Amino acid sequence: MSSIVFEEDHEEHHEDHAHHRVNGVMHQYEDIDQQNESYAVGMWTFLVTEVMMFGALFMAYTFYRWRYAESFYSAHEHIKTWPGAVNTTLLLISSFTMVMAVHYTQLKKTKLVLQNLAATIVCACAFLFVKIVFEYIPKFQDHLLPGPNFHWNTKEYGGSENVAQIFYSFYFTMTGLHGIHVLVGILIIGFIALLHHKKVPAIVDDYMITEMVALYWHFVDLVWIFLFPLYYLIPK
Amino acid sequence: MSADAHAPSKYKPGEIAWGAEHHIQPVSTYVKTIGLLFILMVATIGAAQFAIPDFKIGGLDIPGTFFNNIIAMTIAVIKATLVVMYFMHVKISTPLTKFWAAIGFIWMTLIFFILADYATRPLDPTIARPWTSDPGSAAPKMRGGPMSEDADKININVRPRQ
Amino acid sequence: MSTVATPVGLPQEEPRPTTNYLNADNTIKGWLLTTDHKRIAILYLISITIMFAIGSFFAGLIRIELTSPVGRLLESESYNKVFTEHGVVMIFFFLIPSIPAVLGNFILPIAIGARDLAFPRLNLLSWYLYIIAAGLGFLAIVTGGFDTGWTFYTPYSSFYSNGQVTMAIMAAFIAGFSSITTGINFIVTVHKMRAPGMTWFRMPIFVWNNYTTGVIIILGTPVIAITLLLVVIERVFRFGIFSPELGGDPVLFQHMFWFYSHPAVYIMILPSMGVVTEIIANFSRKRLFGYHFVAFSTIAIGALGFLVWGHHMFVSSQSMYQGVVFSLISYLVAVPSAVKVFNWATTMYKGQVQLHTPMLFALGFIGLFVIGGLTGLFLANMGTDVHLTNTYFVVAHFHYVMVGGAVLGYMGGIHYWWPKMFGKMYPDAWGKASALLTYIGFNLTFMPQFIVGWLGMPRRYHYYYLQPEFQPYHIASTLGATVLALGMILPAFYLTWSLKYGEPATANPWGAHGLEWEIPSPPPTENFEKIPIVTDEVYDFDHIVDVHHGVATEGGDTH
Repeated sequence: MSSIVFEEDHEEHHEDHAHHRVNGVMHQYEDIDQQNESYAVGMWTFLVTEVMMFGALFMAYTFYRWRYAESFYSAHEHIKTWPGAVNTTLLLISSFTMVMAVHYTQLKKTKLVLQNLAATIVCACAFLFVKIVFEYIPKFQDHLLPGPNFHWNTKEYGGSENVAQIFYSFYFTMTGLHGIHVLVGILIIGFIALLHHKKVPAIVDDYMITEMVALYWHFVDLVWIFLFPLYYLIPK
Repeated sequence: MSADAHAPSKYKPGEIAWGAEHHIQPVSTYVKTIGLLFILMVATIGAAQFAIPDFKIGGLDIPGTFFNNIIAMTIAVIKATLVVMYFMHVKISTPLTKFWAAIGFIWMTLIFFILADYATRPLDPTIARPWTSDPGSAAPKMRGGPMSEDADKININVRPRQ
Repeated sequence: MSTVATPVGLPQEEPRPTTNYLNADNTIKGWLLTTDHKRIAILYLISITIMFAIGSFFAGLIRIELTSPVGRLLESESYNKVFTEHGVVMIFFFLIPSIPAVLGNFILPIAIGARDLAFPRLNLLSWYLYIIAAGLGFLAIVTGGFDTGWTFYTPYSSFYSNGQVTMAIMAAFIAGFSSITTGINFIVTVHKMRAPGMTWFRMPIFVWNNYTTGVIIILGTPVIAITLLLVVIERVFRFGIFSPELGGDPVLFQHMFWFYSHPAVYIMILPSMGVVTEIIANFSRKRLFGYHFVAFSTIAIGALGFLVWGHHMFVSSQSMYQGVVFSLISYLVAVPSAVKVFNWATTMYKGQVQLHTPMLFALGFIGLFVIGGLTGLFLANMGTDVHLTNTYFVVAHFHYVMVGGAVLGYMGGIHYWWPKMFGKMYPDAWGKASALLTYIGFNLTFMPQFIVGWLGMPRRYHYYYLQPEFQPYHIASTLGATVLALGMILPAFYLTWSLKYGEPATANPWGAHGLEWEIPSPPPTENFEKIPIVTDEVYDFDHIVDVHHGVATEGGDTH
């Protein structure tokens, strides 16, 4: 056979390989650094898929905005800047508290972790609240949800009604998809907060789990960083 | 990272999470980053209030809003870089992690080549048409219906049964 | 030690000295909640075979329908549903998962000397997502079907179609996530979990190809996910994104759709090329010629594959200048594929070629893939494409590469690694018969389609009464399909037979090179008792004793 020399194994062997860690390391890994880096790379490859997904939406949006620049400007008149600015602030704060939560997870200071996770959730819920109450509901009331009930007051705002419908289709799709990501983020962060609260050993000792959730959350913030100027700050 | 892993730890065992040794950043890093992010947010809102006027460069008409968009996107990219580098810890990550963090954004730019199709259409006389000012008017009307002008009067489109 | 109960479907095994992954923990929970990559591969094998049977059923309906110029069985609407469902099931539920999910899952960790993939639980999730997606797809089929074509072009799919489009799209969407999780797993595993001494350039080509496939998956699948999601949003909420009535652009959908769907075909073919490389090198008992070229050509195909999507859209009012660029790069992407073919040929030259079943499939692959690839060049040329697009020429071309290429590679891989996966040898004579029938049947099915395509028969038409002279070609094609079906059904019988009555396989029945051949057949759950340190180069046959299969080598012995 080929010249293969077998090295001594460091880990013990167990018949049951389900979720068993030795010194914090799962059975398929050799050491903690390999495991941590694998988790980080794995999460980033997932975020690559999210980037490509939102990227395609940004491209489609760019296409129509390029094509119908005037109408897009007119259509965006109805979108007030201040809820967008408030939401940006909220998400930035939540990003900060999230990274602080990871920081304290690394230092195993559970109380501070829980405080920061709670702050993140509060900011995220406030984000959704502002979005739904101050942005979506007024738009629904003003017949700006695309579909059979869409109505665009061309005389008052200018621009083509058809393009306005396209604009709002994109608006609701992109902010809606982002909002769903925020909602899922809230649920996941809530879940790991619960695990921290119960001091589940896996989450208290292995900071990468919290770090992976934080990576997801920062990504959500990233998408918003690009959504904000594109929808709320269109120049005339 | 693995070279550092064998350096003596300044934390007692159990004091920090597994493997966190060389990944703990000072809080000031995060505070400075969030501060910068807020400043940039204010900057981008401020910059959007002033529409740059149109101007000419040697005969070429350039809409001023083009530069507004560039400024807005540049600020957004800077903010994104700050978030990625410091909040997402990419700055202190291994080269492999850095690679995968970067490749997503780089590859995303490929999708924008779709726009090149629309950009080069005016060069082709057979399909060049100005983007209409009345969108939707060019939608094809229902064709082949019984009362339309191109109704199928000789039943050519009807499949003969066996 | 054998445990209490044998799993359903597997026979009472002779007492073997060690437990293996098949008989360790024989409860339902042990299979349905397993995190063992090998068991998940078997679960995928069963699911994918079922979906393949469903897709083949629709193919059979198509071929029966086309034997008469006025059609035999189906109304136009029903025929539209049949070819749509054939396409969707075969592409999303069979071809894309096939080799990565079955052979990749099983062999890749072993081939690089790892105990499991990087994220075993994510692997299990991948299978469950696939099952949910397949169930949803099946539900969409039986509750009315969908008739948009697997390409779901708007605005028909988003506004005017009356079928189960939303459910079908959600099925494809979820299958996409199954695919993505597999891709993530492969990428991280190959980067981080290679055994000591297993450098990138000592990895088997099968691993290279599955890695590249994983990269293509994560870079491309999200785009189709969002594109199809937009179609659903348009359908359900009546938003307008691709709707021409509002000034939207259906061609934008086509751009976004094909941005993924072209790399998708490389997802389908690259793992198959990896399998073929393994088989050719090992059954020629010779080092792969130009290993670095083959490895880099894989990367090149993956990268270039993202730059050619417009060749599906030459007649769609896409800009001609854009088309020129796409045409050029499409020609370029043929080059790395040709590099591989040349390297396979030179590997066989002056090797000790052994024509066992896997080798027959691999040789069949080379012939059929070359034909498929060459006919692709006619389609990549804008001028001829105007004449050939949307005709049966295109249908024949992609079936040559997809079936003649990807499926033959899959069958070859199954036959190659079957002894490893189940510890039993199948009768080689039957295997060869199956390979031969498949090859002959396939050519008889699809070669006439090239001819009838350039004579003008459009695709997706179920009647051609205006050109009844096409009928002989279609009848030949259907005849071939029958032979092909026989060739595909045979393995179901003799492979299942071999599970109970086959000769027990040794660790290395083919005398092949690779870490997977150094562990027992079937492997123990933890793959390796001790993680190997790899010191020899890949495909290095100097140290392997020449064997006839069935005769034991000194398993695990070094010299």
